[in-house]
Amino acid sequence: MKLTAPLRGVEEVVPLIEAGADELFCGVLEQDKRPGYFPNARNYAASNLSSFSELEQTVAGARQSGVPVLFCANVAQGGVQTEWLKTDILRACEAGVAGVIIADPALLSWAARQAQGRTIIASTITATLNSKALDFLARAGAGRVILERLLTLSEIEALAAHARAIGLDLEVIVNDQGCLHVNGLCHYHNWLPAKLDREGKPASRVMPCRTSLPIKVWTKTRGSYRQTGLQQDHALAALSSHICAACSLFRLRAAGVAYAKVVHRHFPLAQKVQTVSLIKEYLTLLEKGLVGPGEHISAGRRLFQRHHGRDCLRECCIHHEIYAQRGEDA
Amino acid sequence: MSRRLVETARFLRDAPPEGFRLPSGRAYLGDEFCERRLPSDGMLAWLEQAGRNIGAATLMTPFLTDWGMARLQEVLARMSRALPDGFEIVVNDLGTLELLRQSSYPGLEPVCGRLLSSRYGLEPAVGESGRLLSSRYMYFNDFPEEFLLWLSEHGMRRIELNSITQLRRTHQQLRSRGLKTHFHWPYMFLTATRLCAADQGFRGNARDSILGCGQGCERSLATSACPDGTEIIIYGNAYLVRHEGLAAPPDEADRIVEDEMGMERNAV
Repeated sequence: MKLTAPLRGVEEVVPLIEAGADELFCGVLEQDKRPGYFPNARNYAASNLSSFSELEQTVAGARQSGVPVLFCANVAQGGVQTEWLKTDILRACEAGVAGVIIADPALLSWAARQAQGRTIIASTITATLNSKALDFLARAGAGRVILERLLTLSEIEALAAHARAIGLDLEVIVNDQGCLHVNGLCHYHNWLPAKLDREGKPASRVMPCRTSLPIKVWTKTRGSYRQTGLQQDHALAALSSHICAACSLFRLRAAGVAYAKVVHRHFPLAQKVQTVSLIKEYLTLLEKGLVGPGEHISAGRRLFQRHHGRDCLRECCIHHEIYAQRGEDA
Repeated sequence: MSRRLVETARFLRDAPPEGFRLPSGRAYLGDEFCERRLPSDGMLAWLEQAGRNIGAATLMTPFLTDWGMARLQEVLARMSRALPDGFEIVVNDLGTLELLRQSSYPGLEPVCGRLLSSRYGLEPAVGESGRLLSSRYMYFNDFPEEFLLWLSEHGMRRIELNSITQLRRTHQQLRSRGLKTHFHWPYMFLTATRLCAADQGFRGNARDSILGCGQGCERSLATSACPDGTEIIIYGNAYLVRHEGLAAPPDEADRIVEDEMGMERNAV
């Protein structure tokens, strides 16, 4: 099982590889050339390289360690932005990337034709939760699929068996910020009005899913609803910067999942290195056969404590089975 | 100038009681957000009896796990027997498109659902100048040519649009390509989850709901108000809002899909 890690600057190449990254992924946002253009799902400068020459340097730097670099084009765009996105994919291929992450199923076949020799990776934004969708994406040209985060380990194991049968690699996200919504469908975080600058360009946005909103509860009585309670929106309940699937690696690896993905390109390098080294150490223990079936949770918790300097929380387990098993332990 | 004739369709979520008079026009069955709300066995039994008396039917399908996909195959088999003249299926998952390709359900017409079409609005859309094409709610541009070809390759001649911004931005482009537009009234969707809090009255975390369902969405819902005053409705696993600035369904759509979801409310 390989570890793929996020990058936002050339200077991050060496530290991330030293921490254990087997593969890197990044995007490019040339703000000065095409203001307002959103070439990937992390549509702000702090998440991206600022030029394709930086991408070339990144690829060259990583190549010295034999580490491939993937290019993020994980957004479905329309109008002129589609053409810009296609141009960017071709430029990234010229820069030497090993693969392209695509969110738009309609663009996937185009990318597979144009970027021959590169791996086409279907983004988590394709919202893939079932075997038929894996068939669909494989037929369209994907060589790897990043699964939706809201799946149980049992569901992932079944999907991994199917993926193996059709020759497709799977990638699973192993850290998160705790978003409760299906990635590929969610308009909520972009929903409130954008704040515009004087030129009418987007300056910043308010993210309602990162805001504590009171909710009224309504109960159905004889065909109509009456207000019966007041709560806080549960969407905030799981928010944390340390949502983790380290303990799931035991089952994910056994199931044949090929890649563990660390996300959040915009995070500070130190935080990314911390997560990458934790996941890498767990994978190394697995490769050496040092974690048995009854030890996978205690091993994960021990590593988390060591790398983060504090105990992990049960609520921060990504996968339900680990969350439930920890409840039984308690 | 005469007003264009707009088709109207309604949702039928439960098997109607005996003697129920079917609404005229098209009936929608199923759900677009939750695989546990695909038509129930009771609904399918009713459909097998009512069969030919239904004018036209559309099966709405959500994003699906393998469990939901297996259930969808059962539903399609029974509906195909009950409605031998065919019916529409609204597709919101790439796996459903693949299922239709791999199987043969005669007379089935796929419609591109709004969970697929609105993915083009997940990130802001800008024009050549870098100006946002719409500054509020969701952001839409013309659909790319690749998407229009993709619809055609998958036999989709109808497409659902989620917001009035998207409808107004794209309906002429779609019409020029022979595509019919559908618009849900009165709600557009914002997001959906598999961690549905309805079973527990929207209290605490909802981690266990990924495994099972007590159909709490049939007993309660929740509302929230954004800082700008807009009301969000949390219906089961989905977040919805009323279409902004519209007192009535828009003229631009070819079909209006009416779905109040039984959400008329009386404040105490």
